[in-house]
Amino acid sequence: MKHFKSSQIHPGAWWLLGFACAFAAGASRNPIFLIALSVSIVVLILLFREQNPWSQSLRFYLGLSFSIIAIRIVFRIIFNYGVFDLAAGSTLIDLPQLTLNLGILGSVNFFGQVSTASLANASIDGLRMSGIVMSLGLANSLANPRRLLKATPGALYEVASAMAIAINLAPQLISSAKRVNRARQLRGRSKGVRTMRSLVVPILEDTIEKSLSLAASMDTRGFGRRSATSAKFTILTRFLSFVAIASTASGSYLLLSSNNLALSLSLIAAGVLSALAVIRASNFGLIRTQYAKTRWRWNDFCVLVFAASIVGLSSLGIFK
Amino acid sequence: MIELRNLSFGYGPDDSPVFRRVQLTIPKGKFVLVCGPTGSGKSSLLKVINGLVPQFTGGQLTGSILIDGQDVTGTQPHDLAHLIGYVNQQPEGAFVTDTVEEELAYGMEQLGFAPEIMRQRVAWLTERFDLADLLSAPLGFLSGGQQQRVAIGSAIAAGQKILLLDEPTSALDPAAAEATINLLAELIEKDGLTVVLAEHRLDQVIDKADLVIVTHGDGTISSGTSSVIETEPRLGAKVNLHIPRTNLEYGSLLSLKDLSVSYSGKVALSPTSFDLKRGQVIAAVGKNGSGKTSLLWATFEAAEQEGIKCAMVPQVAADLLFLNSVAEEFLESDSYAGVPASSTGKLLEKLVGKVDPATHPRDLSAGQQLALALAVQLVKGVDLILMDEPTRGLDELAKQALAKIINSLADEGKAILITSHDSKFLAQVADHTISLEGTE
Repeated sequence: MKHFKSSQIHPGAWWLLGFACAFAAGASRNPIFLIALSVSIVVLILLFREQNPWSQSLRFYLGLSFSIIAIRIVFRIIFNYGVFDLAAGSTLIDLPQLTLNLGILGSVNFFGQVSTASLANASIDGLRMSGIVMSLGLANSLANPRRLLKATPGALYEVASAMAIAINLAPQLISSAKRVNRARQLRGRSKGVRTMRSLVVPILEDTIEKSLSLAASMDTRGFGRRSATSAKFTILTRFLSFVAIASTASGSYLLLSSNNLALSLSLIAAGVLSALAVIRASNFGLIRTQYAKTRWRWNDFCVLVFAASIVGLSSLGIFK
Repeated sequence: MIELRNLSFGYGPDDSPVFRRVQLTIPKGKFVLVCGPTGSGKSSLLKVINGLVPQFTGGQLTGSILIDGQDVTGTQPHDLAHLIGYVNQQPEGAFVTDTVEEELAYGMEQLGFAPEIMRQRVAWLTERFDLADLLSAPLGFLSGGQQQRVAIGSAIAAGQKILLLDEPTSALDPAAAEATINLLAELIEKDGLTVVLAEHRLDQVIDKADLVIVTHGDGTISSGTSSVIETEPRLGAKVNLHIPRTNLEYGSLLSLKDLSVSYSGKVALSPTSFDLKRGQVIAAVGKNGSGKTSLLWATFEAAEQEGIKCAMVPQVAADLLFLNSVAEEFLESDSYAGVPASSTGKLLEKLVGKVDPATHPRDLSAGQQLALALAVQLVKGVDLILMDEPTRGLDELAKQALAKIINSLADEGKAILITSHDSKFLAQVADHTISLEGTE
């Protein structure tokens, strides 16, 4: 199976698949489906990933997912009182209840009886969130940020460049941290000097220097060149970008936190529409051309159909 | 033609100016060499031409810069990108894309070239720079010389007629450095480019240069034929120091047999055996990737295990320095080593002369940083000194100073192991040479 490679699929398709999985994870409360989803994501990443700096983050996403579930459960045990109907389900753990009197703020209760249903509920919440994290991990591990950057419309190009550079800097940061740490041990350090300082100063200097030199190199090759556009036009596109971000964010929040599917979907749709408008508008004034366009091919469309069916099925409530 | 008229530049009213009322004319189609001691403004002179100074560095620039008679003072670098190509000191850190082909096209994409024209030009560059076998290769896998060819090709891909290069040979082994210089000479001869090159290693370039510019570091520059380098004593044109060495035989310190290193199954250093003797300088040489750095760290660990005290200066000596002034570094080092106050200061003075204790360690010259990184370790009293590429970034005079330091430390009975590309330098200091063979 080694001949499957993530680069055979358009990076945009990977991101759409990631979003579709995140949508399905957010809409589901079925623990079996959520676990199956995360496991399939791990399998997909292992099958398709290549030797790239951005592909080595699976362990990070797995760690993050497990800690989300753990934190969720621990919090449920600590802040248990009144969160969930105690009558529902049998009592699993019986901890002494702790009441803290906060004066005018009233009193807060900790611990107490923890029911099976309450814990199950917390675990499902944790699974949902870690499912979303794993979905983004899928996109991030498999989509080449630089190829995605090329396929980005002009308006988002500068933001996308900044992201691509940031992704590139992460492994570089790790390698300079290793190097500096080793150097620091050579010299040793008296108790008066804090560890952080002796580490952070050289690492930051290194990283800032490297990113500046990359930025300088991009600039000297013409990055950021554009023809003049009017100030009003810039304000309009900025306003539209704000609308796009705000409505997409609130739509996604509603999708996760309430059952109002219609409202959340229409907010997301409004966000996507204004984003498209911004992209259209900002293309004026750009002169950048593309050497080799990243085209969508049949295998990319297969991934898209797959993603769409995930979204469709979960909208119908199949995975509930 | 590039003209600098009455050009002054400085970072602030308190700092000494980098350039003071500089007048300079660089004619078309010439090979121009910019040289000068470390920190004298070689890079700044290049960056003034394409606008990186002051756009990326800050500072105050007065006077004017003209390119082909047009005043371009204050223009952003990206608005000069179609006229001037620029190759950074470390091409690897300046690559924007993944593969050779994409990198060649990147600049043209930014300038809005039509796709068919880009393809034609990429094909031309591929042939011109002998990159046909590498077109789809990941940039990180290329050798230093290949990376340099890609960087140069990308810089002039859009038909730029001026090419600025900042120390292009500093990380290359001698053969790759010579190939790069020959390539540049060819670009001037065949394609009529103007090439402005800042360099430390003068011996390979000085005979090819049509115009030599010397930056003196006090804001002034001199320009003329190759004899102009004699105006700057720190370039060491006339220095031919013979450094005396007593070469006492102190006996063996550490014998290493079949020292080898591998990281997760990949061999970084194939088995190597050698003896470290007190009073002796051993040099490890080999191509990039042959395991020189691994050899040093492995030796360091082996020596520590034997209870031998070591000092190690890594490639980036500044990694060891993290306080706000040289004086603070002295205090920290004295108190850590438990030695009387100002021991480190005295040691540093012995190595490189007086250094203003109020200076920030990052503002020291490369040679001074190296000496300070060495001094903070020497003060603990060491028997073995390891240095990784200590001559990188040092000008001729600083190299001479380093050679003296190494020889005097050897005379004190310390064993020294260094790695270097610089055969001229090694000839001055090394008693023995270990050649490492690459694993690939």
